[in-house]
Amino acid sequence: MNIDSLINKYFEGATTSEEERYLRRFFAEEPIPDHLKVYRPLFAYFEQEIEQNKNNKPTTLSVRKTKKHGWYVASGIAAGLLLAITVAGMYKYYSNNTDCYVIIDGKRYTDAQLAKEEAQAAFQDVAISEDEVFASLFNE
Amino acid sequence: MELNQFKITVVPLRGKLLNYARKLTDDSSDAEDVVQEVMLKLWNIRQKLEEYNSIEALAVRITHNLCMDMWRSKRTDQVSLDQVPVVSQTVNPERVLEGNDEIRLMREIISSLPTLQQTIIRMKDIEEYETEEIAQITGCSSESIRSNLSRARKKVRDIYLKIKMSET
Repeated sequence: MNIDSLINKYFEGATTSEEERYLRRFFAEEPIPDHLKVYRPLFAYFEQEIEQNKNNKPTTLSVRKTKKHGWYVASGIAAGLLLAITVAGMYKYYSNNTDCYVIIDGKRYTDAQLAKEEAQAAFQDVAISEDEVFASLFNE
Repeated sequence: MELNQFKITVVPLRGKLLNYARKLTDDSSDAEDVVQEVMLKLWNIRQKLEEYNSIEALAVRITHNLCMDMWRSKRTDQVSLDQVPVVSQTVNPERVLEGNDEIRLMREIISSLPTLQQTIIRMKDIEEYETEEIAQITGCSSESIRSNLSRARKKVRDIYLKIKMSET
């Protein structure tokens, strides 16, 4: 079909999308016969709008996707933090109860035997014997 | 909502809307155009249709509004006969010479068309629907879509040519 009859068909509203694509391509390329130049702006306008639509669609889609994605990531991070805090807290709680340590001259020793000896020694220092107890009771 | 579901839930409302539009417009070809436009409007918001309690009530409301618009535009048509002077006033003829301005002029011409013609041109020439698909969406015959499309395209061409003629 030659271009003139295709254009007539176009204005009759009878062209298919395929034929309209062909027309847009035809008017996008030089040279265009003089008597057809008046139609160029129309097809150039459609071509521009189609391009814009193509460029817009993926961005709006990806914006939506990243938005949703963002929520998933945020809630994931929040859940992870909560878990980490809980585990750390429990670890600290239990480890404080089970570990024995002694601080000598500002240094911390965790050796159990040493801690026990130091503790005994410290008790000895403050302990009072039975005699002393009786003495304090009846010597008034 | 996709085409199949649209055909089941929306297109069957066509007869009812057509009756309603006929009562309001007193003209069966105007009524046909109004219902075509209602269907296309509903199609363009098809993703949101599920949010409405009653699609039928929505469709009737749109039909009512479009009939009122048509009634108003007919009254103003009697005052200002042609849209051409309106368009050419907004476009400075000296700037129209360049390619980009030609495209802008096309946009203005198309947006000066009645909304049904605008919508059909947009769907066919920009969103690349086939005539048959638009006919299925609106529930009208392909022939009726084709003739509306033809009218719209010829009108764009004629307005453009008139503006060009007035420039030389």
